Amino acid sequence: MSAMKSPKFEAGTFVQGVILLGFTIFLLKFLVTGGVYALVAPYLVVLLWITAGVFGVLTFFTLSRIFRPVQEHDHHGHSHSVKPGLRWLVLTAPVVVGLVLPTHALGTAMLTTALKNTPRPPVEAVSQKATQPAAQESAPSDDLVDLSTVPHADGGEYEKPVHRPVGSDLPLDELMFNILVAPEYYYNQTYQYTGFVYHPPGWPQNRLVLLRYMISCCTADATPLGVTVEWKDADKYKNDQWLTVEGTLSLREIADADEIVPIAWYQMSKKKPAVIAKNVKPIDEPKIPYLGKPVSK
Amino acid sequence: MWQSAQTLFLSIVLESLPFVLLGVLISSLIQELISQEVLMRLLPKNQAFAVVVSSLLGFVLPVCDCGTVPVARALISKGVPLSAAMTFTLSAPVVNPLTMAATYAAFGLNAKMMWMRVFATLVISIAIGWTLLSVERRKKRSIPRPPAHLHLPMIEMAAAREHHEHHEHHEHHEHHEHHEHHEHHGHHHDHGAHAHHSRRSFRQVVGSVLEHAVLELFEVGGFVVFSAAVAACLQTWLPKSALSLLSDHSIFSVVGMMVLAILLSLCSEADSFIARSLAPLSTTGGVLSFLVIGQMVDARNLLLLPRVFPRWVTVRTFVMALLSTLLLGIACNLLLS
Repeated sequence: MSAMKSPKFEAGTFVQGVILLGFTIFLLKFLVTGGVYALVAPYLVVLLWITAGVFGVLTFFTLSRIFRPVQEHDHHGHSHSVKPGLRWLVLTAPVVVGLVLPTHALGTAMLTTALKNTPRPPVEAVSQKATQPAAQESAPSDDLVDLSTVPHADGGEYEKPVHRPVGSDLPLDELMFNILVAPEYYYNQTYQYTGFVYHPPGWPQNRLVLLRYMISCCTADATPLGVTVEWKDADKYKNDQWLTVEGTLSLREIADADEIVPIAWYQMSKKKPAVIAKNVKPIDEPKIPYLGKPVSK
Repeated sequence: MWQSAQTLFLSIVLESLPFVLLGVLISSLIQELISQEVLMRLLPKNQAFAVVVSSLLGFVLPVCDCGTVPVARALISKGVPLSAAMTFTLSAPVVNPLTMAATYAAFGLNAKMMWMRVFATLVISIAIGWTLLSVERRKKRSIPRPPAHLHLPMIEMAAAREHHEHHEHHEHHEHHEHHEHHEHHGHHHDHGAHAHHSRRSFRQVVGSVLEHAVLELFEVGGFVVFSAAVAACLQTWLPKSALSLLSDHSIFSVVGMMVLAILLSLCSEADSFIARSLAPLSTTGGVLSFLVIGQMVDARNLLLLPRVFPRWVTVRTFVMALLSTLLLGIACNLLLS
């Protein structure tokens, strides 16, 4: 039989409870404000709501045990208390950083890092075979692309992608993945493209790269993907400014394009895809700033 | 750049949290609800075959690299041989449906690299498991049992196991006393030892699972956060000159990609996309080595495995994993060239 004494305050358990509470608030902050989309792929958001719920339960459970009854026969020579250590301090780092500092989606600063390399479209077998032009809205004649000269995927292995209505939004990843399979869907066609501005060093004033990052899980696997845009006032917009560009896809010779990471995905010819803009509109950063890689779609 | 590092750090932590939590919850459920007898019945009697089965457990215990260590710890505490537990730890992050799908997608919906990765991981983890098993047998430690009665923080667990082995090997009698001491000492914490007792109420069981989960979370969480910080800093500030390590040399490309994988400590679902983007700078063997070694020897495992497994296990594991991945990568380059 164990005789009960007055409950003992467990400082270690209390600190654990506070850290768990911090994690719960940290998760809820990102989930409620939508800031989570600047950090992870959308499919993880459901998992993070569940995680926040479990952290809430663990917080409640831990804080409910900060006063523990002391028993006279609790004699076996050691304390049941948990003691804070350096590892607990490390554990609080994301909570402090996430709650105190503002968080932003990845921007052009990451383009200078070593690991941001050229993405590649899935199709590697290309030919110069003639492509039937699609009967769509035409571009001005000087920008008109001769479809018989553009590279396209050879053979029937690749299914034709969905052909979006002209004038609608065209995600940059769709352009990259499909342009070799169905070049006639994109060249000489007018679409709306959304991304943020990147000015490669030494570029003319009438050109910019419209850029998005693709992620599969988190920003650690982010891959930059962009398209060249020609617009008379391109230099008016600073790096990282989000834009919607309405324009027609054409081809341009761009010096050192294969060295400019976001647009180096198109290495099949000297001329590179370029959007000849008709209308450019600055916008706020979208709720979901990243494009999804195939696994997260 | 600090802003980018901060974004990467928080991103890696957020992405890891659900999987860490899943790992500690599975670990706690095994610890509290599955008795040693049941677990032993589920594992094949033949220990060499048990190692092979463990290499495929990722399909039924879908934990990524963040969650394998707590699960392995729970398995060991229930008497699963170290060889089988280590094989599970090494293979589960790769041999599971999610990682396989990610690898398949990352390499342009081409299954070749996915199967090469799975095959290489299985071969290496089973080879390591069998090696550990033979050492276990040599040490007459075919089924280590002491931690079944013991619920200690990880560092104490590995130390206690080595201490226990040392005593058993040299001073059998003294070991008995030591063991009894622990049994007495650990009685309050060891809910696992009570798992087969049906007297505990549902509330008590839930309480025990949650208590164990919090303990595990505070054991593992700090290392997950630390490795996320290291990976974020490397991604942000790794000089472009470091990529010269990758080259197209059949040996140096493998070495370079292995070093990069160990330093970056990427999650098993994300690493294939980085590997794909680095592919033009390296060789097929280099990419394969990156995908294999990154889930076996990285900052997280270097910090965590020594806290769960005895030193003789971790040293052999790390050395074997490094050497066999290196040889595999080089062989791959020579065969494909």
